[in-house]
Amino acid sequence: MTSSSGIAHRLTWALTVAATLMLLWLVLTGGKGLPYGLTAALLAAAISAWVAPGMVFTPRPLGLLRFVGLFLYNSLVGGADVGWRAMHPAMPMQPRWIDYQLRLQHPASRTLFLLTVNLTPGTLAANLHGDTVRVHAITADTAGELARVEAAIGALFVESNGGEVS
Amino acid sequence: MINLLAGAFIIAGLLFFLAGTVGLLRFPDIYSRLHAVTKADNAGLGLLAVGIALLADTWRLVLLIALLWMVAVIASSVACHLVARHHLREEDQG
Repeated sequence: MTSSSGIAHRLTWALTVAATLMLLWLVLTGGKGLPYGLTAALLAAAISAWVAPGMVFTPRPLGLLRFVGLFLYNSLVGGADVGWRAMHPAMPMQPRWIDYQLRLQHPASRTLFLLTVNLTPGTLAANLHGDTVRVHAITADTAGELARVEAAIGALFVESNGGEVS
Repeated sequence: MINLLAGAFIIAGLLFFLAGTVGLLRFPDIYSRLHAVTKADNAGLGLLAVGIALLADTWRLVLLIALLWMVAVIASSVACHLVARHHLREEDQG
């Protein structure tokens, strides 16, 4: 990484962190003590950009809509499904392990995948080893659910070729 | 009217919590129990949040409730993954 792109990268990160923290401050306080919030947000952004600058992801608007829709739908259906199984006298379940081959490469996409899978009907991501996710399943159509989540996350971010962002 | 709607959401949310807790007690192993607690409580808290947001006076309160749900969901999903992974690794060793 050249030093100029390094500085641009750190600046983008600092601005994003500052804006996010400021927004959080406004929501939490309703605008009280603004000078303190501004000082703290700028200071935190500067330290973050200095010590551990991360990558800023800009999700595609349509991809974001699709992902949020799927997430909310999965949350509701997932909760209802497992709740129904719990209340049912016979507790209908087919517990088993599935090894799912993950195509998403970027660490952020992968984390989001693991977190979403835990809330998707019938699936629970227990381990990630290399490209293989160990999924505990209690319902029948699990591979379809996992592929749907992966496709939605793939459409959310523009994955750079080969994955790792330097 | 809005009170009735909010009440319906809140009661539905509480039913999800109840079902999740029943699953936690009844399901046979740790992974199935994690399914129940994580998913049912996520949906339950979401419905509860919608019900309370309907009764909120200001948009700031609605945003705060949404933020609360998001933070709780992330925390519960991370916890679910970590508990499952820890248990899986212990099983592999023993």
